[in-house]
Amino acid sequence: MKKSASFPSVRATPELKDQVQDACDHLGVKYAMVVNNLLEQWVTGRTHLDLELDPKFVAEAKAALESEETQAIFKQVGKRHKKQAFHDAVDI
Amino acid sequence: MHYIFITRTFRGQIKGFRKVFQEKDLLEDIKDFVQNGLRKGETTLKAQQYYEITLETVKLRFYFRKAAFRYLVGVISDSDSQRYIPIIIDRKAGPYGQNLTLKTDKKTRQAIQKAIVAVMSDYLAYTEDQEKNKESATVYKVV
Repeated sequence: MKKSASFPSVRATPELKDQVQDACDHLGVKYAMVVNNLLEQWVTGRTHLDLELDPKFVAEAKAALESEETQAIFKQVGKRHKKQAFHDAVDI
Repeated sequence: MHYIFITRTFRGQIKGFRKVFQEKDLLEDIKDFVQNGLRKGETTLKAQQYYEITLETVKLRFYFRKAAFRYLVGVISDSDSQRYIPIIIDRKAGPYGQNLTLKTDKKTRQAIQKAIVAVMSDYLAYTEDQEKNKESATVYKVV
């Protein structure tokens, strides 16, 4: 007989949990079956998963980019932009 | 033409990591991004048109000697050239670690905001008068 193993529990928002639960009930499948299936697909490379590795950093950076100070300096950069050659540039 | 601007402000930041990597190591990473585009775990945060230019901000990742960093680069594009200006770099302890330099969210936002203003001011000074403001930035041409 095959031994069974449990995965760690997962955290989600209450909204997503309800959506998933509703979908499972509608199709008459168990949540664990869906998760196992998705994990198998991912492990075998059939599902591409795009994860943001720095969610907090990105969220704060986006907020900083929207700030008045940032927008003001970006506008200045645009306004004072000139096409020019950089003769002292070092080749890399 | 592709140019990388290492501003005085940004150079000051990377000095703090000189035991881990040198400026040339990071330049190689930016050069790789210039030539090959975004890699795994890297994203474009915002792209906006300001007068004649498009200013895009990207989040890049840099691994060196088992240390993981993420950093922001501003990309200014006009019809002739693209200018890459690193803004801020932050060290991560590891893939699931806490960031070490920027402690809390509010501080992170403020630090990023402050870095953007300082780095772009250096860039503006340099492009305004390259001779007079030589020390504001060093320019590298990607060949």
